[in-house]
Amino acid sequence: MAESGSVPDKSVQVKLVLLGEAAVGKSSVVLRFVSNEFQANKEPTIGAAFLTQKCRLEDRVLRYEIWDTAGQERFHSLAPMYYRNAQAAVVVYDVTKATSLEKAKSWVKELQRQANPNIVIALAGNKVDLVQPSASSSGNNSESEDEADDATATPGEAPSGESESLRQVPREEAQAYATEAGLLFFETSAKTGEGIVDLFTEIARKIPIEHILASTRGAGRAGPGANRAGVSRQEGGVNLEQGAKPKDACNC
Amino acid sequence: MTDEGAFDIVILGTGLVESITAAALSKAGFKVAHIDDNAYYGADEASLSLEEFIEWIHEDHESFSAFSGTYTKLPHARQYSISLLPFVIPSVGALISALIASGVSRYGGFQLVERVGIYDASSGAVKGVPGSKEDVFKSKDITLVDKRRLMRFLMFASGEFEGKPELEGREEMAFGEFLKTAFMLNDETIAAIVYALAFCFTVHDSTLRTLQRLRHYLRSTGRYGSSPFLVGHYGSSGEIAQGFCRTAAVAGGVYILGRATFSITHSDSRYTITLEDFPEPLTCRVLISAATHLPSNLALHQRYVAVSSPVPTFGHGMARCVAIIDQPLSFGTKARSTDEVTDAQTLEPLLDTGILVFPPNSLTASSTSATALVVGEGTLSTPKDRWILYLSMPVLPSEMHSSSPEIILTPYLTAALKTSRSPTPPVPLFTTFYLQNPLSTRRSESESDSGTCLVSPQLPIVPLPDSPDLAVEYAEAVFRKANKALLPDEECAQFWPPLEEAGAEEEFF
Ligand SMILES: Nc1nc2c(ncn2[C@@H]2O[C@H](COP(=O)(O)OP(=O)(O)OP(=O)(O)O)[C@@H](O)[C@H]2O)c(=O)[nH]1
Ligand SMILES: [Mg+2]
Repeated sequence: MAESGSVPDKSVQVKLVLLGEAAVGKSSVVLRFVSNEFQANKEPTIGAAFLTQKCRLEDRVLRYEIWDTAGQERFHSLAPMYYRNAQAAVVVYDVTKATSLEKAKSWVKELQRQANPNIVIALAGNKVDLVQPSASSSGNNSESEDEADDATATPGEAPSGESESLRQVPREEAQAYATEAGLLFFETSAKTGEGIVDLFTEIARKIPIEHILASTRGAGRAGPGANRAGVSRQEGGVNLEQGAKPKDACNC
Repeated sequence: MTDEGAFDIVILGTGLVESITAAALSKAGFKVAHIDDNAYYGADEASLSLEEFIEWIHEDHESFSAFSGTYTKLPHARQYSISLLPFVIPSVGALISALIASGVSRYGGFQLVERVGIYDASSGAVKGVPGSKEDVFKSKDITLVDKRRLMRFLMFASGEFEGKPELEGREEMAFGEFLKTAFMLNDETIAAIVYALAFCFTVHDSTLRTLQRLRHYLRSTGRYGSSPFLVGHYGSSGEIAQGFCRTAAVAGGVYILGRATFSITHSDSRYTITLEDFPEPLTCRVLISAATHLPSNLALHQRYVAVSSPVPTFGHGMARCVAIIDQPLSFGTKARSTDEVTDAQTLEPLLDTGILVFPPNSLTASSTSATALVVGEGTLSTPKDRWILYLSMPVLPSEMHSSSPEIILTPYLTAALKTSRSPTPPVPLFTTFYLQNPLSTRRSESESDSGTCLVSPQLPIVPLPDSPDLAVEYAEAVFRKANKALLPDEECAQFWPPLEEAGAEEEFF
C-alpha cells in the first residue's frame, strides 16, 4: 500500500483484538489481511501474537494494532488484557462448526460486559470457501459488497449440495444474531481472501475516530490546549523511542 | 498429555517484578507459565477500574489495611484506571530502557509530568520547583547570590560527585545539613531540593544515596521534554505490568488468571502446581513466586533473591489516599515564575498531570514529607473532566497504631484541593484512605546460590520516582537466578536480547 512511507504519527491507532474458538482461523484471517497469504497448516497460536497493518479509508489512514489471541481454552484468561483497551474486536467462528458460533456468542457477551463501551465488534463466519462451489465463477463474490447491513441476504440459491452440507451455521442465523446483538457481520475465507478486506474496512468506517481523538484531548506535552489539531494520542504522548539521547554529563 | 503442562518455569503473581521477569525469561526461550489468582494483572501494582477498585477495597490484603472513606460508584466507572502503586518514571533509567529493549513501549502510552510544585508552609502558597539550569535562570524568586549557589549545586549533583571535596566525609550526613554546610543554601531552597527535587521522605536521608537518586532525576531532564518524569497511560503501573505480560505471551508464555493455587508439591526435582478449576496440573523445574503468593509448605525450598542495592527502610508503611475530583487542580501553576512570560495568554492550560510536595511539618507535626500526584484525562486514566488525586505519606511504625491514614492525610487532601482555581475547592466524588503495610521482614540468610524455588524481592516503599527502576533491577536479579538454576553450566542469557526485526510485520503491506 502506498501509505507505507507515511509518518506513523499521522495515522489513527486502532487497537483490534481477535477472539474465537481454537482453529476457526483467527491467525489465518490476520495473515490474509496483513500479508495477503494463506497457510494450509497454520499452527495453533500459543499465548498471543501482535501485528500491525495500515488501512486507508477515504481521507484518513488507520493503523491497526492487532492482537491475535490463542483460542485454546487453557489460554483463555489471557484475553481480558487484550480487549480492555481495544477499540475493535473481531469474533471469529467457523461456518462448518456449530459449536464455534456458541463460543463466539459467549465472547460477544463478555466483550459487551467488560470491554470499552464504544468497542466496535464484528462477527466473522470464516472458512466460507468450504461451503461454496469450488468454481470462482460463482456469484458469491458480489456478496461482500452489500453485506454489512443487509439482513435479508440469503445464501446462494443453488449451492452445490455436497459442499453446502458441510455448513453447520446458516448464514441467515448468524446474520440475525449479529443484527440483534448490534454486530457487524461478514462471512469470510482466509483461504480465498473473500470478505477479509471488507471486514477490516467496514470496521474502520464504524470506528468512532472522533471519539478516539477527543478522548486524547490533553495528551500533549505542551498542555491540553495544544493538541486540538486532532492527531493520534501517540503524537500527544511521548514516544519513548524518539526521545533525545540522554545527556551523559551535566544537565546544567 | 503431560507434556502440555510441563514448563521450565512457573511464576506466581503478576506484579511488576514478576511480569518483567516473565517477559525476559520467555524472550530468552524458556517455557514459562504465569499464574495469578486475581482475575486482573498487576497484583499489588495493578491498575483497576473504579468498580474493580471498590471490590478490591472490600477484600483482604496482605499488603494493605486500615481502609476508610466513601466508596460511591460513579458513572463511567470503567473509564478509570486507578493505580495501586502510583509512581512517576524517570526518563532515563532501567524501566525506560527495558520498555524499549523489550518492545513493550510499542503498546504502551506515556505522558510527561507537567509540573512539580512545593507547598510553602509559611505562606500557604504553592511554588514551582526549578528543576534545571534554565528554570533557575528565569526564576525571579531567587536572589542572584542564591542563584549562583544553586547553579553550583546542580552542576555538582548532576556530575561525577563521588570523591569530590564537597562530599568527602559527608556521605552519611543528613542531606539537608549537607546542602547547608557544603553549598550554603538557604532554608527555602534546601527544602525544595530535599523534598521536591530529590523526593526525600525525611530530613535524615543520607547524602550519598540521595545525591545518587537526584543525579538520576537530573539526567532525565530533557530526554522527552523539560520534565524528567513520565506517567504511563491507563493507570501506569498495572498497564506496564500487563505490557510485559503481553510480551511474554507473544514469546510463548502461557497465562492463567483468576485461578487459585490449590497445592504445590515437589518431587524428582520438579514442582507440581495444581490450580483450582483447572483440568491438568502444571509442572516446572523452577518456581518463582512473589513473597505474597507462596504457599507455606514450600518454606524449606524457598530462596529469597537478593538484590545488589538494598533500599534502607525504617520500618515505615505508607498512608495512601485516592480521591476522584471534577475540577482541575493548579498545584500553583499561576505562581510559577517561568509562566510569567506567557501571561499574555489568559487561558492557561489546565493541569493534567502534576506533583505537589509537602515538606515535613507543613500542615501537621510530622517527620515525613507528603506527596500528591494528580492525573487526568490526558493519561487515559479518567473520563472527561475527572481527575484522580493520589496522596501518600510514609508513616513510622509508632504512628501506625495511634492514628489512621484518614486522620494523617486529610489535612493534605484539603490543602491539595485548595489549589483549585475555582473559588470553592472541589469536593471529592470518591475518597478512600488506606495503609500500605511495611515490608514483611525477610530472612536474607536463606539466600544461597542454589535453589529452584525463588522468592522475588518485594518492592519496598520508596519515593515516587523510584519503584519503576527498582522493579527492573529486581526482575533482572530474579532472571539471572532462574537462568542459573535452569542452565547452571551456561553463561546467563542476555536480559533483553536484541529485538528481532522490530516492526518487520509493518513491512509486509
Ligand atoms: N479452508 C479454509 N481453511 C482455513 C481458513 N482459515 C483457516 N483455515 C485453516 O484452519 C486451521 C486453523 O487456522 P488458524 O488460523 O491457525 O486458527 P486460529 O483460530 O488462529 O487457531 P488458534 O490459534 O489455535 O486459536 C489452519 O489449518 C488453517 O489453514 C479458511 O478460510 N478456509
Ligand atoms: Mg491462531
